[in-house]
Amino acid sequence: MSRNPFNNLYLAEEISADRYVSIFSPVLLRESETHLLFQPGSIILRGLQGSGKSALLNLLKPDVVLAYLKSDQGIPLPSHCAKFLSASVSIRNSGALDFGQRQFEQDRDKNNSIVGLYFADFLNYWIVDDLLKNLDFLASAPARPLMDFLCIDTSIEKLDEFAENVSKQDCWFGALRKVSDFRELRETIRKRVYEYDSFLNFNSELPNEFSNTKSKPGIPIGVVAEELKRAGILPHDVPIFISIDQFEDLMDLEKDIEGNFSTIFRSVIMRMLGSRDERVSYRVGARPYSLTTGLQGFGNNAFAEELREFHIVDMGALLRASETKGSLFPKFCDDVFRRRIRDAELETPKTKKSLVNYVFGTRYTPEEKVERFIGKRTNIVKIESEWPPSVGKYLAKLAIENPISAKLGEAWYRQNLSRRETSSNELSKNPWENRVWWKKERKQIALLQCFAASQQRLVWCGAADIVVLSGTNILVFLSICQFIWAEYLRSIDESVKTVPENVEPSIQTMAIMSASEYWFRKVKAEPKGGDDRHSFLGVVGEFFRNELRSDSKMSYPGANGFALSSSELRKAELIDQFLDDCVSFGALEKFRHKSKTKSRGQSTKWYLSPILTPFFQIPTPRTKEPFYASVADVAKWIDDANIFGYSANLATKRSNASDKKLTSQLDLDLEKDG
Amino acid sequence: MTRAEFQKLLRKWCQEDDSDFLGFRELKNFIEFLESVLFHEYAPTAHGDHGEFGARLARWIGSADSDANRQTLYLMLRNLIFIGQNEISASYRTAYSKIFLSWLIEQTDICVFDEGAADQLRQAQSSALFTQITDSFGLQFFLRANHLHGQNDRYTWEQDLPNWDRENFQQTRIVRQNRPDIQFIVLFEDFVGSGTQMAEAVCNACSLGNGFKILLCPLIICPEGAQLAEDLERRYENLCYRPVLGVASKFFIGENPIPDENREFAEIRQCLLDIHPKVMGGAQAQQNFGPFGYRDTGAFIVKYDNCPDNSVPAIHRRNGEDWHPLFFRTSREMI
Repeated sequence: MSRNPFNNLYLAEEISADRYVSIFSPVLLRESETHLLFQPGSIILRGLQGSGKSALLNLLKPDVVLAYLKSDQGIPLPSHCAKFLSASVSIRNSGALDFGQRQFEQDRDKNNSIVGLYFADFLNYWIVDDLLKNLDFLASAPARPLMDFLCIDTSIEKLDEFAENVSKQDCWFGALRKVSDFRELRETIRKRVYEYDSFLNFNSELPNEFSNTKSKPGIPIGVVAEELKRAGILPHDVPIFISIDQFEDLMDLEKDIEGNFSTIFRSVIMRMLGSRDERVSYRVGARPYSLTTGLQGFGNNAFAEELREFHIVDMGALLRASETKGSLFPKFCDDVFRRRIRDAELETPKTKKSLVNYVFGTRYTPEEKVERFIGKRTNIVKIESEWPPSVGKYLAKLAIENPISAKLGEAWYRQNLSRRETSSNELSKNPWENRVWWKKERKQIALLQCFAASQQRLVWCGAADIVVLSGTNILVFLSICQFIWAEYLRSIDESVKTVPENVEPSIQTMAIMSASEYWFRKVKAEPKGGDDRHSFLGVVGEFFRNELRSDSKMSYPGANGFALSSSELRKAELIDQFLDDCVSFGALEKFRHKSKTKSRGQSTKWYLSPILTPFFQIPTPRTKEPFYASVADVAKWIDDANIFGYSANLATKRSNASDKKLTSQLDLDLEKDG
Repeated sequence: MTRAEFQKLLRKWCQEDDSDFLGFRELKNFIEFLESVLFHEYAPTAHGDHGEFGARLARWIGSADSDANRQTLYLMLRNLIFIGQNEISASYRTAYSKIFLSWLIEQTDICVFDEGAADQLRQAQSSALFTQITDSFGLQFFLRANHLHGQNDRYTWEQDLPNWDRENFQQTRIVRQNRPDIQFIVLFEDFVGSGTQMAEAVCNACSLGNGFKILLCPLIICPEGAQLAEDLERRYENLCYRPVLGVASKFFIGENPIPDENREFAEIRQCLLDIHPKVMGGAQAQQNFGPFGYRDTGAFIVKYDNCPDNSVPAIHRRNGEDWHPLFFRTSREMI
């Protein structure tokens, strides 16, 4: 049995520096927005799970930069941002999560007031330790090319002078008073991290001196950075980056027994970002839901300000098409795909064509999908008994030749029947074929209805479908490839050494359905109300499917999404918050919407994440106007989804707000609406 | 049918099952999962030209001629009970720690809360003789799984059947083994279908007299065997019957429908009747027990080391190029 090149979805996060060079796709680095990560100034790198944040942050690591320097590729960054020194901490792997294992004070309130201080101290020492470790690495013989590239001087005299100067600084509150050289500095810093580790794992008590030598968030890191330059170890123009990844994991520490979240641990990092320390720049990798509105700096409650203290780089926005540029995502997918195939040592064709297109086929039009999958076409159009026989006869005949056109013809006839007389003679000229926009906007719903009428599942196949289904998330793309490859391997009798060309569409559609089911199941497993979002999506997806299937006139072909008026939504705070959570966790996608009716004012529209559309058997492309929902509609979906926690919150608000007896949460929103 | 041909057919079935009425997609996922974690344990096909599960599945489905029967055979797998090595190992542990020990405590009136209960239990256990009805139980593995030392005498009842002799048994198992204190005899069996093999051994054991307490403990037992075991328990005062897992009758198919049976069984029954001539290759075939297996048990049970003949032969029987089994059975008798 051959190996599936996509078995390990998180490869770029786990492999050695040398292999990283061949696996990591530099396509993202073509964006000037991405270059911000490699220039001074703090950045929050925001993105859903698997969007490529960690892979990108790994590029900051010295061993990775060295591997690029030694490779024939060179550093994949423009020269103005290729030089830097970094330290990095991954919340999950650093031991930071052990802060949830042991309390510093028996009393919960007392512990809450002090744990943040210790956490900041731990993080300071951890990061400084990593920075010094990287200096040690640069001083080693194998890292010589990088040391020369950065013009770093790691002579022992300078390092010792640096250590002496650092240890004298007030920011340590005397914790480094016994340090006299670089080795002692490294040892003392490492020992402090070890003592925390030992305490949090119940192996020892916290040394007494810790209680009066707690350092402030980020200050020692800035001091070390400044002293490195002052000692002449690091040139003044080489910036120091501190990468903090998996910010969202801190939320696991912040949840109390009642399930409420405080923001103690995240606010420590926000304080680091908000300190306007120009000596170091932070890169914080975070999922959107962890960047709660109103996150404040630890201790001082100051809000870190976007654009002033940090800049947000959004992975989704980086890859999404805009009015001024096309999407980078298809190229990114193709590059990642090609690298995975090469890593699996499969032979590739000598063609300049995109490899994704070569393997999956470029695009299958609705007509081609129908041609491949629908054999029996006698039930495609639904003929009403009161229609003239010639109309039914014509559409039924057309359905045999071109089911999509026949289905569009049926809808066109239904639309026009109510407005004016239409003759079968007029029908026979297929007037809908000349109405370019009308037809374009309805092709997907026609496709859906063709498959539904022949009792078959709607199909997704071809590179274009796969890329659209992936949204802008490379993990989704890789998971689809993984499912397709697995299905492909099951379908062949012998092992393969070359990549297949045009994998059978039925294999693709079967695997895409499995991938969609997987992602829908995953919604449930997400924290902070995954169950609720899963139930809600179930109701909304079912609603869309029924609407689109039963809309025989094709009056609402865009009903695979819904829009709400912003003014109405502002009054329904809980619904707004719930929908925002759905977006933060990647279950829904949200866009500004220009409503056709002026009375609705500003509007917002939501769509299911594209990868969920096969599960619900609704078209993925977003054409035409979405379903114009009211807050009452959304409240009903929430009710139908039996989201108890949410209903309870509404009930609490309801009893606080008014003594009036209301029968459902729907009433509450209606009441809010006045 | 090749693996590729079968997968193409399966995809078509899934595609046409748009509302999941027949559940092809879910079953496909389930079978693929079990293929990766469990079915590879099946020992009789590990060597030789049987091929991997995926290839056997394709040949098996392709053995049926009509699309309807092919679909039914595939859907029949939803009823398959595959007992893997881990399940058997867990059954060994349960047979000892739950069934045997609790029975022993009852027989000896040991109070488990007494300070010396553990010693008393050890003492009582030294008066027990662990035996197996057939060697397929794997007494040595049972002893190993439960860390039972000093059990040199590993008696198999089947070896002395049908000419079992009470005197000879007492001489060889008790007198010569120097175990005059034996009061408890445990009869284990891994799988009991109709119970015919089991009954003879149990009757012989019970005939040793009331001085011996007998425990009958099958790991897996079918309804007919369970009924027989209960009858024997009523007949013999010194017999206690306690299975690890009694498989309910709703998991078995018979020639005639029964009230409230599994809705799929009507089609499966018809399919098994249709394909039976092809499975067996004629009425003269050896061990032709009919479409529902030995004594019409109608089981869908496969154990990792062999498929019992109580299971429907469509699953395990090979008939030249006409019928390829999914889980080929190695038979004691010549076929």
